[in-house]
Amino acid sequence: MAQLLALFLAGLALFFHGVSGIRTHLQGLTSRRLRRQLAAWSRRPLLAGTGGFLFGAVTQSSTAVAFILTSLVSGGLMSVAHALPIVAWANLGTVPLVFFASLNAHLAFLYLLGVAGLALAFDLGPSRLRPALSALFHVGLLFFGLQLMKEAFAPLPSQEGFRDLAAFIQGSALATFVAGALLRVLVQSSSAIAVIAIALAHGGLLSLDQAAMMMFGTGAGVGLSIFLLSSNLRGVPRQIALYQALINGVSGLVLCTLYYVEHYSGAPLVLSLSATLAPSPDSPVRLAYAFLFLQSTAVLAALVGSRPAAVWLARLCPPTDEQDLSRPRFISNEALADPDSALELADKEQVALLAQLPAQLDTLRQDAPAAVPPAVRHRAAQAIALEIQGFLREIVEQSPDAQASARLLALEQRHALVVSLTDTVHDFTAALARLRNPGAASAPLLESLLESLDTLLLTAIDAARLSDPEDLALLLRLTADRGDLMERLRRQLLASETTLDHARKSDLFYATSLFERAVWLLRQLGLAQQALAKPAAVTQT
Amino acid sequence: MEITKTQHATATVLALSGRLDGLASPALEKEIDAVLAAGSKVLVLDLSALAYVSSAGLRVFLTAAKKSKTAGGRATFVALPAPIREVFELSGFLTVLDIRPDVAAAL
Repeated sequence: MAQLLALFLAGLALFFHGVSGIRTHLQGLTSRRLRRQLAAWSRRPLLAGTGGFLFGAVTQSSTAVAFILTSLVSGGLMSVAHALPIVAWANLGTVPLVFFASLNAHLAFLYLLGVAGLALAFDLGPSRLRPALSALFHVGLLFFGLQLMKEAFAPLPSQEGFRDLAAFIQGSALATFVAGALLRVLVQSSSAIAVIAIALAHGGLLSLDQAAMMMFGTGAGVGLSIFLLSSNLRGVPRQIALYQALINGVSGLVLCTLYYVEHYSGAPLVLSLSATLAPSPDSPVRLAYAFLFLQSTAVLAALVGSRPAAVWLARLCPPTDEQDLSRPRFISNEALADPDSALELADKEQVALLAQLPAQLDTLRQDAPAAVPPAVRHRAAQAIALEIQGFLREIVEQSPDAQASARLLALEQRHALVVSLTDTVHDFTAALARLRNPGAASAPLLESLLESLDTLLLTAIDAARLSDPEDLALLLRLTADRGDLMERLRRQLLASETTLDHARKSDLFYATSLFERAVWLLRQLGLAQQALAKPAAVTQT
Repeated sequence: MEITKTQHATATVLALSGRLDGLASPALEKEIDAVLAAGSKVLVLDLSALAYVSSAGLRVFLTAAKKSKTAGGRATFVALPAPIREVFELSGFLTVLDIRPDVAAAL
């Protein structure tokens, strides 16, 4: 029994390590390029289905796909209504693994494991193929683990205690349904449990009917698992997670009901159809079909109910402030086809990002505290900054002409400054919030720093938005070097706040340094704006 | 905030007292627009009784200077109390705005 357990544990460990390795080594596929592709496909039902299926096959977890898609929806690359069918089809993408597992291809997978493992160990082949080789090695590992589990279960019927366990489960398909649901909560992969159910049936621990019911139980398990996991999610991610829970829960319960209807009425339904497609009573492929029906029902439920579900979910979990703020307003994948338009939109998006900064400072004003906390605003700004950066990189791939290329360079330079400024303003806001103490001698200076920075930011926004040379000249004059002034103010602070402890003095110095840095960045921004205006001037002449 | 208007031969003096914040700024902007529309070429803003100025108020000052220049005149800021002078200095206004010690120096 100890050897059996050891074999089973080793097999299980290799199996899950294989699943996780495939996911890790194919993670590169979830780059912005693939996300962009997926976003483009999402508008065409057939391509959305294919994309979802492939995504599900790669990750072996439709739940993981659901969570990846939430970032696309939050980033404004895809609507919830477009994301839902992809999530649905990802469920079907997990089916091929179960079919492979049901085939007797043990020898082929051993060769795969050996060849890929040796190539990796001795660094054979080009380095660019290493991620693919690693993924193949993990595929081999997964099936080797599966084989170990099958071997562990083979002698089970002759083991003491097995008869008692079998007698306990015997006849209770519902017990295996519940076990499937609970295992799904623990394991987080329906296909993994389906494969384990096949191995258990192969070892004689479960009948084919019970193994099928264990698979159906995973549907309800997905619902339960997501319901538990998504309790900390808000807004759009929760919409997509709940949708995934809903369609899987429905498919699990529908197939469970069909099983009992077939069992008691004798009407040929799911199990009969599986038997027709795989006539051999011992064939594990019959179980793979049962899993296919489960996932197909989830897709069917999604196709029937995606539109009303999107409306209902939007009402149930409206987007949070952060999700609203994280949505780019101008850049879109469609604009990439024309580099000039794309540059124009990137320019507008950068200015919009810059225009969000005064709202950070508003949170410090006692008369009008902002509704959205600064940390939330900052995270949203970082998300948009990342989208702009990715967008600018993709414009490079569109081979822009010399003039567009010059503008692209200027926009890239300005983007780096806007990102630095975003971080600096956030740090400055946080420092001032820590130092807030109306009675302190430093309070008037801190108030002056706040109002001055706000004024300079608003002037920079005007200069970027209106492209007026006068505004730009004003910004450059206002942001001239003030190192001496800041040094004098720091000395004044030290003299006025004699009772302060070191930590507070350090915070005060930090706040003044951040102010100085922000002013310097605004000046650089003005200079970058000049560089942006130059290509336009060339066009006009 | 209170605005007291005094008309001189060629100039209009607006004396500000109290807090010039986001709520008070539109009223000042309106008053400045009215003065410029009346044809006054020299606008003097007496800040001696001004206790506080927010970014909105600072923007009104910048706009006033810009509009006066466009209209062929000038805007002068006089008698800055120490805290207001500090905000002006930090904002870089001392190098771009016309600043005088008192009303007499501006007329």
